[in-house]
Amino acid sequence: MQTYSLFELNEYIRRILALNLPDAVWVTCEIAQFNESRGNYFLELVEKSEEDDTIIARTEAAIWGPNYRQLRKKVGKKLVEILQEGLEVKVQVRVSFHERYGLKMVIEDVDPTYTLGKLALKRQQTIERLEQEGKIHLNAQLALPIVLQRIAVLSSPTAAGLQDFENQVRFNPYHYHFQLDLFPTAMQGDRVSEEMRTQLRKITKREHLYDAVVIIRGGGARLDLQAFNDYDLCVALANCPLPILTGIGHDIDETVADIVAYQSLKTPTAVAEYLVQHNALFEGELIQLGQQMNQIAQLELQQSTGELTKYQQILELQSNSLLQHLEAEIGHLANLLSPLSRIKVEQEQLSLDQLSQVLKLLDLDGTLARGYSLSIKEGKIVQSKTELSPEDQIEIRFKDGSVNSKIL
Amino acid sequence: MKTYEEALSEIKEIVSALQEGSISIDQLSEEVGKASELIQYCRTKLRKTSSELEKMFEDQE
Repeated sequence: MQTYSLFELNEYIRRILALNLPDAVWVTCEIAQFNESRGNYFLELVEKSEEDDTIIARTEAAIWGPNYRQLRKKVGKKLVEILQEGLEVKVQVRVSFHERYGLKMVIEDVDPTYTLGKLALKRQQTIERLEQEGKIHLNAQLALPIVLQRIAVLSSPTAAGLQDFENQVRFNPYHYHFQLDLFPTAMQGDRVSEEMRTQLRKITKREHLYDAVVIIRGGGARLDLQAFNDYDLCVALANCPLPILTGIGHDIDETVADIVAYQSLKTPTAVAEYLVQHNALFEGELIQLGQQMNQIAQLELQQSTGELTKYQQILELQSNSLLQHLEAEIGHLANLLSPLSRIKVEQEQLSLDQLSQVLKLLDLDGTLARGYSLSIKEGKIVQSKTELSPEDQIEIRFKDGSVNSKIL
Repeated sequence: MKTYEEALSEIKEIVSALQEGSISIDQLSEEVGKASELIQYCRTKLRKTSSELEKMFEDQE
């Protein structure tokens, strides 16, 4: 049996490979890792089993700097978006073997339509699944509070749109107060779905503290939006008990998250405007109600004032007439008092006069003065001769004294 | 302090007692004096009420 030196073996392998794979070949695979180093790009390519997602093939590949720049010119901006971890790609690779460095796969070309098609298909499947499960309009059926003030913000602290959103909300022309609580989450890359779902669970636990959830993402590559087409994330959004407003910041494409949300808006700024306008609408209604109330009150006041004036007049009239009546009554009584009391005095005078006359008549001293005398027996005036018998002792009273005498 | 009603009914009592002749001459001046005072009191009260009312209606007009 022949023995090779290692170099000989490797040289043999290189020749076999070069012979059998002389040209570059198109390969479909998924990018598991993507790194840049000194202008060159190094990728880990995998293929997963359709049944259980286990890796059934794996290899490393590279794109050399000059080639990358060529591709960038040819494919455009999309190249950056396509060469992302987690995405399925169709790449043209040249397979080579080097005696010292081993197997090397060099990517020479990329087919962007393949990745885009795959993504569109996956997005469509997600939408259909959510529709079947009745989740697609679940969040949109929630009742939006009349006033939106306490906002849970799902965003990355470094997201370009977050600052715009916060400024727009804080310095709104109506000076409405908003409470913006940031729940930080990745907004790009493969951690978006998981981090955002974790934060959504946190928000749901404090559901009573918030009026709505907003998702703010500013700028970024178009394919970065893939995270927002993720089935698990969209289910979590659909099940969120608070209305979700999205400002994912895209012009053309609508993500599945946008479809699931209560309201999707083009930009973070548009979300801010939506919040402010929503509250302004409520304030407008309040102002209108206030005006109506004022009108009604004015009318009521006028009517009441009229009524009051009427009653006031009646009151004035009635009280004046009552006073007049009372004054007349008092006057009448006063008028009675003086003649009545005078009559009384006169009556008394009169009876007094009569009495005095009677008294005069009866006056004993007067009678005696006129020369009459009085016979008194045992202290009593003798009025008849029958009262007297012989030998009776009597007193005869004159005006100037009395004498004792005896009846014969 | 007597109310107007009390004062008035007392005046009326004295007057009707006078009319019936049931007041003795001893009480006469005392009773009539009392009635006069009460009449004065009632008149003052009426005048006061009247001017108060006038003021109230003035304020409202």
